[in-house]
Amino acid sequence: MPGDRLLLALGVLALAGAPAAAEPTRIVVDQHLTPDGELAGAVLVEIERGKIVSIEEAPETPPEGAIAFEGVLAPGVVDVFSGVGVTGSTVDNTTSVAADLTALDAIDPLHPTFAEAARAGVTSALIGPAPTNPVSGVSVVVSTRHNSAGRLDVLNADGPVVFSLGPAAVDTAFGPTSRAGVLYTIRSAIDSGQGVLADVASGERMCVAFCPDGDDAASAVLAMGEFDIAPAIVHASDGIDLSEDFGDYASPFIVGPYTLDTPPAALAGPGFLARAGVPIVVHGDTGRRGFDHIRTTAALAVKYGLDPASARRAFTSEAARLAGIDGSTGSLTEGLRADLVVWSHDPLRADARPLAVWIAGEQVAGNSSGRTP
Amino acid sequence: MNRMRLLAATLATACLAASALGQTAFRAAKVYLGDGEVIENGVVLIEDGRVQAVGKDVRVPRGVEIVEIEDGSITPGLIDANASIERRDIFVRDQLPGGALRRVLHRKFGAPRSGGCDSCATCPLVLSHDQLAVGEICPVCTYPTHGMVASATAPGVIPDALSTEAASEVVAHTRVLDALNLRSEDFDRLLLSGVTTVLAMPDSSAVIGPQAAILRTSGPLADRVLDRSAGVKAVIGPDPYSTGLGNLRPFGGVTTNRTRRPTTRMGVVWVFRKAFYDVDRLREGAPITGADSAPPEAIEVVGRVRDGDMPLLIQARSQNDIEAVEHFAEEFGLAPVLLEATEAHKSIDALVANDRDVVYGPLYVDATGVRSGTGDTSGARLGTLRALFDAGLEPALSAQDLRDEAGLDRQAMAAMKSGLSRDQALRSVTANPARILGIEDEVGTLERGKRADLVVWSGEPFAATSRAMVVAIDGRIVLDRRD
Repeated sequence: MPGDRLLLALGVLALAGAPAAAEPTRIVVDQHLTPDGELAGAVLVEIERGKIVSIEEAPETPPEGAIAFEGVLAPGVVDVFSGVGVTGSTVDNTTSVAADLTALDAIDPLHPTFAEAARAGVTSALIGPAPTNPVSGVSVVVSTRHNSAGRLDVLNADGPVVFSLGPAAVDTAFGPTSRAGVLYTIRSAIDSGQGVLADVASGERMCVAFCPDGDDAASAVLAMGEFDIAPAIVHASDGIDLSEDFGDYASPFIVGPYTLDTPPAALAGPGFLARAGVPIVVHGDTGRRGFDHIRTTAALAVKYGLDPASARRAFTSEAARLAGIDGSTGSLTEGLRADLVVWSHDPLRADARPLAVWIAGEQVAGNSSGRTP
Repeated sequence: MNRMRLLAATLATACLAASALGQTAFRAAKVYLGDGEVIENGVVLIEDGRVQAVGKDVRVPRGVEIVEIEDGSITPGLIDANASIERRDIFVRDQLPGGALRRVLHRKFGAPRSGGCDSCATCPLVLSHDQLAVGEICPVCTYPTHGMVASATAPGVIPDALSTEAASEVVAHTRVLDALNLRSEDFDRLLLSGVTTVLAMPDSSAVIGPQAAILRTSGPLADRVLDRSAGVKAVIGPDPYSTGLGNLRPFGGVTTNRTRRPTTRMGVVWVFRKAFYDVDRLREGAPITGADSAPPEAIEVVGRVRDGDMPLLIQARSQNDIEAVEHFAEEFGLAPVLLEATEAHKSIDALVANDRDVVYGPLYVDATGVRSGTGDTSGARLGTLRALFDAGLEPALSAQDLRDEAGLDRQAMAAMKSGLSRDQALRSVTANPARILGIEDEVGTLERGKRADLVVWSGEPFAATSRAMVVAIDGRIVLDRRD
């Protein structure tokens, strides 16, 4: 208890000393990302009390006190199935239906990767349980910067519920030992309507199905379609084939991570899916590969046919929608949290780097005087 | 079915729009309707996926495409009521450029490329696997890595997740549809044999196995499934203890919940019978006891089988197994369909007395695959199907896992060589399986209003020189070899 009070006191002190709330911050950048993911002209953005209060066309000469950048202003990157802050294992192998397991309990709020992510332009992250059980648990969405009380800033504690198909969900010792068994476990778990699964069944809660093989995706949609659930599909390889059957699928496909070693046929998948009308979100496997890998994955998908606007949305607004935080962040829209990044170039370019990063209006990285070298 | 419709609406709006089918006509020197009637120079007119008219003088409206094979013949699409579908995937396994890389890796790891390690066969980033610790989950494909352990040979590890659920001998609550790969290239090979509808069967490693599914062999995902729970497959015979993974010999190995108890024919029969007894115990609220007890959810489905609400299909090859099926049928008041029935010619009287539905087959001279090691094949005779017809039964013929030159059309050819009439051979792969599966109102013959499933053969159906030139499912041409 005394510890808590101490923290509270510290938090109050931190709040009192926080400069963000005092004066509005004004930023002028010569290009910006529209909510559609397109690149557009110069803007003047005003931040107050952690939020974007106005976005307007930049005047000829920057107003007094504004910070000017040569670059691209974009919403902060939303990293899905991120490795940020995860400590230890998120694998639980005592049960095959781990619906009450939440990834929140696996996060170390003081983990150094939070700062690393913020510096790389990642402003929020969806952290999921490892997809090792048919019903793997609940994912959680956090900001990569602690709130003013110095605590983990949880943006959505009720993130998508994670289901898993494929061999990782198979348990040779305790069952289910087969694909049919895994699917039965998922269907009967949803049918039982326990806890969070009731919300999944009623459609109030997003869910995600890890589908390592293309036909796992087909199985997931057929089996969960029985409950009128359209899970978001995590699948990286055969989007080309799947695009025929997933035209106008309501939920997103989470693709990636892609590297220069990924076969072209797999890299072409996101383009095919997007043209079929499926929303795309990229997964950068940031826990293992570093935070730039989100943009690398998106860029490789663009190289093989994904349109650049969809690719930029794939790590901003679409990712925020999947995480259930699109009402508070994920695009340059007035009233949303000021989670912003100024990139030196189009973020899809390999040489783009973050010049400055703001999270909830607070600058966490980069040159605060603008006019970068 | 309603849910399927819903799914169709959400899933494949684009596909359905593209298949807004108008009219198509098929013409050939002979049209076999499947009910015994043959029309010379007949025309089949199709509208919106259904047969609109069949006959000699059907007027084809102007502008309607006519598919015609000179000297060819038309039959209804073939139905295999006991098909084993291989899970092979055209795209992932063989055509990705990474295939060569994977082979190298497998060589390096000493792991078999196929069957052994799904991880390396499907993961687009398989190279990263060797950077992970053994058993760590690959974040890309979500498979646990096998490291240097060849998973297929590691004791106690099921090499992939394809086989029948092994948590119990009685897994009637699971569905084979969940384990199927609807994009398997096996479906393409079925099309080449003229097969348009299958009852997709689980393997025979469980005593009372998963529920089988009635599937179309081609078409948009949402239209592929006719019935996801078309019946429960059961097995009497050596397969559960000879092919089931993890069967341990008495006095050897560690007993886990995956240990397969029956190690004898007697044991298999006991598991079967106990499941039916347990239905009563469950309904009386009594606990199910015994080391081999099936999960209650499986017993519940067995209860539906016993009430006659869920069809039962029992595989039995040898005479004594077929007789055992007849005893069960009598004891529990069941009307099961008999599958494979290799030695049915020895039990004709019992089968006729009970008017048993039989899905016979395949015909073979030398047994291959799972059958070869069972010791159940020496009694196979090429004339068994004919003997069933001669006795007045109306059996179906199945190729099970055999394809290409041993596929269903060739099975019918071999049956004709052993004395079946063309009409009987045709019935055994169209109308009879349709009746046994309870889908005779939809498929099985070319009749006005039925689904437009048909095969245009290059010559007489099932002739040694004939092959399927055009195959249509629901009026859509899904195979065209005219060029």
